[in-house]
Amino acid sequence: MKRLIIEAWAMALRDIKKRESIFKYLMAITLFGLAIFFVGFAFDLFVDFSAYSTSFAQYFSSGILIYFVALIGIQSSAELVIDRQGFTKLLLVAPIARGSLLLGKVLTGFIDSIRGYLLVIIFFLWYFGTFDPLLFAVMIAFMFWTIVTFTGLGLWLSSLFTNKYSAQTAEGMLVFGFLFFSGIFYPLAIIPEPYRYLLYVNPLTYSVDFFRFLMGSTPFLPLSHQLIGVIGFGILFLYLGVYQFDRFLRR
Amino acid sequence: MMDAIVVKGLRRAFGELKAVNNVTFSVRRGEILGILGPNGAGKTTLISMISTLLQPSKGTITVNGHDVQEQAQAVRELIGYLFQESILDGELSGYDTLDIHARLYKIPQDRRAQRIKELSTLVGLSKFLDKKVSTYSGGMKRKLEFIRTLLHEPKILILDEPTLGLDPAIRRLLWTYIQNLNRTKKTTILLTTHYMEEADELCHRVGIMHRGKFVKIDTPTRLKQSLRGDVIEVGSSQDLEPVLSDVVKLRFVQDAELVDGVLRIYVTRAEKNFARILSLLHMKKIIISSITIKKPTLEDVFLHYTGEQLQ
Repeated sequence: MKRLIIEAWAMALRDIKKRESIFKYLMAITLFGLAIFFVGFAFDLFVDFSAYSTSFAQYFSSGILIYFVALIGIQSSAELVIDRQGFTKLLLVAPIARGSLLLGKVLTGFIDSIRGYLLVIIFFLWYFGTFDPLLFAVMIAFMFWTIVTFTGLGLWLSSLFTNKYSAQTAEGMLVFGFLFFSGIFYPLAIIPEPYRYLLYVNPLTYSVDFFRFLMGSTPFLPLSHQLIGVIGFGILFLYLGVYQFDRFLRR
Repeated sequence: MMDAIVVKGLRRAFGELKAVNNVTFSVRRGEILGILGPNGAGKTTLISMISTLLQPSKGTITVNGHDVQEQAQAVRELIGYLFQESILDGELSGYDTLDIHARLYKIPQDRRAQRIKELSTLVGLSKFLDKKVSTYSGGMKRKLEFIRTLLHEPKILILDEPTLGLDPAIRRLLWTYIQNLNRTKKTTILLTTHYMEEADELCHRVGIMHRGKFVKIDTPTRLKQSLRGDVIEVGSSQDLEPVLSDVVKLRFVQDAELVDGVLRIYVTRAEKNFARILSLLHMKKIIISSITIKKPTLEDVFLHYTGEQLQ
């Protein structure tokens, strides 16, 4: 285990050191936070969310934040496959456990999501007055699990393709679908029953709903269903990701 | 003593293409073995399989007694691989590039800085380590990649076209490092190249690879001797095919062939028999446009065994 962590940390360190300066990073998250804030409040002017005991700003911000965390997971693992002729090749001839490659990308994704979104999340919790230390701790752990889940998904998806452009196109379509079919913008309750199944097969639906619960907004699904979805999809994608990546490397 | 690398009946196909076709050879401990061949000969595919990067379609490879398929991690511990193409992050500094690599190879913290200092001083990069790699010249980048490969002190070094695209001065410098490493640390080195001079200068033995197969492996000297004599090359605007059979019949001619319209004659004691060849060509009314006498080079060897020019 110690070895796995050392190797994964070395991989994450490379990604972290390549990032922009702290000034550019602070500028980016401030702009990002403001963008979410204004979109939420703009919609509040003509969307009535009182029936869901929340405002659109609060509802939307929790959903979009976990979407971006998931996005980091997908993108960071896809790098492993897309970079097959680059740094990944260097890793493949090094005495590194294959599990470390995945863990390294999970670590990178988690650090990136903390760096990118934690301050924004804290701001929203403070603004909406829903900060709870226990739920906040669970939220951090859940962000990690979201990264694990979507790193697995990204790895699985990108390993399916031999052509990196096909992989990128598939990922693009997937994240686009995730954005509109997971209840980020609208409550699941407004979708007619037969079409609602489209949302149930979307792994992000459960993450969005659980994160919404943790941020003190109104979720749609019962907590037990959220947890089953979150844990179930996490394990499934982790397994598929490792399995398909291993097959990809054997080609 | 056990050989460092033993390859038996190795094959690798990509669809219909047999990139490596039934290759058998071994690399002795402390030896520098060069694989010489043109682009597409199968050199990179071969070393990719040895370094565990690619699965063979058939055959076995052992590295210091470890089977590359069954004990891949043990093999990876032993080898250092310098890729043909540059794999560097321009955004990282030279120091970070080496430090991260050292961490991946689990070099203890107290040794990391020391090794980085030692190796960067050796290749004259120590003053530039805090600079971003994107600001390095091509030669500096190659040196950085070279010392990165050496950080964990591999017992077996695999170098894929180590000096490709470098200027002659840097190339010579890298040769010196490679030779010193082999001499002082007894590192076994397997390198691919399509530079004749590099193979001649560096390698204890050279394997000529052509269309996925080894056509000959031996020391550079013996390979050249295998042509049994000197080489006389005759150029003419006329077709030389009709005189080929007459030339071969001469007692002192070992062999003769036509390559791209040039008549190549392998002879013993060229300086003595040169005049007799000239008189034969004169008799056959051949107008000679050029004629050279030379000691055989690896290029001649390559040409002789493959029938093709090494590009």
